[in-house]
Amino acid sequence: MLEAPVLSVKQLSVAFGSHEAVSDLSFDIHAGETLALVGESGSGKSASALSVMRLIEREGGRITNGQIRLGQIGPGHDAPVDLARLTDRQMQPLRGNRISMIFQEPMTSLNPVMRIGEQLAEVLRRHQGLSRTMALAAAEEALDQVRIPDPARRLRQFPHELSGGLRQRVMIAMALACRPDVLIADEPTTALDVTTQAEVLKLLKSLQDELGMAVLFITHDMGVVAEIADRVSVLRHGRTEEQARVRDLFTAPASPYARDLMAATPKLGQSPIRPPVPPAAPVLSVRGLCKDFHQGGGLLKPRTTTHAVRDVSFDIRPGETLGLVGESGCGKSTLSRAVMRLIEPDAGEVLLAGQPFTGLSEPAMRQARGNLQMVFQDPFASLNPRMKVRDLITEPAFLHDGLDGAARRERALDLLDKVALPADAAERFAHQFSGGQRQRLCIARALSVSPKVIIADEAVSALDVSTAARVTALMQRIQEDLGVAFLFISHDIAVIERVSHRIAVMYRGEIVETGPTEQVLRSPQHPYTRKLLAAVPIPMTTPRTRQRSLEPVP
Amino acid sequence: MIAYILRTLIKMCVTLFVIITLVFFATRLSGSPMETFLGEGLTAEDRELMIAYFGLDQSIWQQYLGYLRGIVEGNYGLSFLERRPVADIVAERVGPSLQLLASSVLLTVAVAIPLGVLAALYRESWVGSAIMALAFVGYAVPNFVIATFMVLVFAFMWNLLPVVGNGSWAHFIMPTIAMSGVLIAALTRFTRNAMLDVLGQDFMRTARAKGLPETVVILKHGLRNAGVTVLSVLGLQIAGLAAAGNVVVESIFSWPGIGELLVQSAITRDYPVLQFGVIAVSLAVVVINALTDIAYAVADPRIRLAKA
Repeated sequence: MLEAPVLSVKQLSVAFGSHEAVSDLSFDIHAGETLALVGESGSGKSASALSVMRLIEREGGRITNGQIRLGQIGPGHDAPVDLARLTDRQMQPLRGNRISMIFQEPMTSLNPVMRIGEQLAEVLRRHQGLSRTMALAAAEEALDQVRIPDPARRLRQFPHELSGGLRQRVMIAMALACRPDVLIADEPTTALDVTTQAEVLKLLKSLQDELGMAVLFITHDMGVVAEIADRVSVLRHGRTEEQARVRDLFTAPASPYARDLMAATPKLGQSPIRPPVPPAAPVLSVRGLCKDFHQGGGLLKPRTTTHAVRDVSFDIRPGETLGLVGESGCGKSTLSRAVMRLIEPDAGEVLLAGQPFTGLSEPAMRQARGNLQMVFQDPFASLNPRMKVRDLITEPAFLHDGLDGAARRERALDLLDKVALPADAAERFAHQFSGGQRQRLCIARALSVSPKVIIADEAVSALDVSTAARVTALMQRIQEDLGVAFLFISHDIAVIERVSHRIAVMYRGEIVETGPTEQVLRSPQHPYTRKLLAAVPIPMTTPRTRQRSLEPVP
Repeated sequence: MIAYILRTLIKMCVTLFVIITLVFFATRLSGSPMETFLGEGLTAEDRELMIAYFGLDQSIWQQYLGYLRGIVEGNYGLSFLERRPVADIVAERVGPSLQLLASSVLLTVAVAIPLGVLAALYRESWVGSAIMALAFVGYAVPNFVIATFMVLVFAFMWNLLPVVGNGSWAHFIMPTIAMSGVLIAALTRFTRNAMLDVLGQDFMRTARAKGLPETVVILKHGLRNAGVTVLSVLGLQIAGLAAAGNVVVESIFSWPGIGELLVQSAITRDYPVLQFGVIAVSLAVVVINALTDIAYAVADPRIRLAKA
């Protein structure tokens, strides 16, 4: 390519204290081009992005070596500046102006006590010297550009009045308000639902076509990479493992790590489908379960009711995994809690191993819960930091069966063996383990009372793809060995496909479709299922021009 | 909004009713006030007349009901000592007390918020440690110690400042400092903690990524968010000051405010004055609390008054 790159990073190294987070990173991005920086958590991708913004110093890091040269779009411009050598004061006129950034968390990245309009206008007033009224007019245009309906009204709203997807659009509008040469997007769609993610990615792509900026896109999701990037740089432990064009990476990854990463990524339609289990009496049977939430209802205030779970029924057979898929807020976590009776359902019944579970008295229910265990999403918050692992994972057995002393220690070692953790883990504490290992501990704890059913609520959502793949494989092995049934809840349909015998699709509190995995994914009946499937980014590049339907579902 | 005001008013009335009841019976527990007022030389008939004049011959329940009726009708009773309506006596004291309260709050905000912000920004340098050490000392020393110390040094030793009354602006200096001491210490610590919370928030990084200078990031985006939490505490602190802080300080400096009046009327067992003084102070506390709630909701758009 003859044209000079807009952003050129050479031999960049970044350190936090004595720990080197990024080593010898180099890449170029040209106008209109998107480079994806890919890696698992701790690979240094966010540190690299923050270094380019020179915000890394704020996070306690520093640039120890290298150049970050920022050029300009179009011909006939000044020589590029080396951002690594600028002072904070010299960086200020560039940030938000020639180089912008959007962040992962749209829920917390906007100032909660300032109106949207004010936050947008601030950038324009600072960098383009517009008056307040002119800046607000320009802000309205910027909101219109990111296809936010009714922009004039949005200007006067506060961030909490907007959904996650809309907030991320506001962030994009803010970042692009001054038409930057470089846009850095740090996991901008990770916190969003797939359908919202698809819309935001499409928007970014079309804005890039319009404005011609260079985009540095940071993600851990290979599906998103295939969707948006031209070239990819794979990072691991701060080092570049491979840099390639997207097509080359997907068809023939050169480095072993990239190959592992590709293999671990769940691809919709690529996993071997688990055949349905033979018919048997259901081990967990849910009939007409309902749960409403009420808000307000004080003096002079009307009560509002949310139907979180509406008339939900399903069966799970012994040794079967039912995948429950749906987007955030669809009621899947409420459903799992209502089945567990962590919250009391308003109506309906739950049968556990043929015995009624709803309607049991508190002590009887607690006894019956030995057959129904749960694994939660956050492996960091769901393990008591002050208990040794051997006590932690055998606590349910202690509570249910009074298992104690030598037998309890023996059970702990047995459980650690089942989840493929070393025996010496028994004497350690939860914080000494990684996220994936902690989730294994949670599974071990659930197994300690030999339950018939385990509810896994987004159990692998907080984990890196390769870790998640190992954890789901472990669950599958345990299922084959012990015949335990799983209710596996996830927002990620590719993970659901990998683990489930049957799938239930949840939408606005109701199960809209249920059936064997193959049937639901190959010939979805409900329009929402079809929309969900169409929105999933597919980690392969050949059919790049997939048609999507983004029409709202009734 | 209207619903909120209505609810606040109802709550206020209930609170006041409870306080009036408590104060009424608590004062009666310490015996008949007449023993203090009526001299030795009074004849038995005069004595009866006086007791009847103040309605003290009725049963305690009749007195209580009579007192409640009086409050509803706007008749708050006569001072035993001065023989004039307690409302007039208390009204004279409201102005000076409010002035002292206002000057103390202004001083507190002007000193504590900048100090708290500085302590948060320089938490790892000696500046932050020095501010927090100072705040700790300020927290530990009671206001009457500060007051006595100041009187000793600035009035008696150097003869720089007046001690008694509220005649001029110079009279405000020592009482204001004595009143705000603990408050400044508390609010400095609180501002620092609120600011530290905010400094780590994602939107602060966004503000920097927009290219805003650090001062704008801290003062506009940071302080505005920290201010929301600080405000709620400030309201409580002011209410506390209005309720109790002024009693000690006003007494020491003979400040003609409500606090001093309460002490005097308690000593002389002038119950009607004491009762009405306490009711006035309670009313002030309740109003300040309500104003704090409203200010909080205005400052933080996520709080809706309807839900408060």
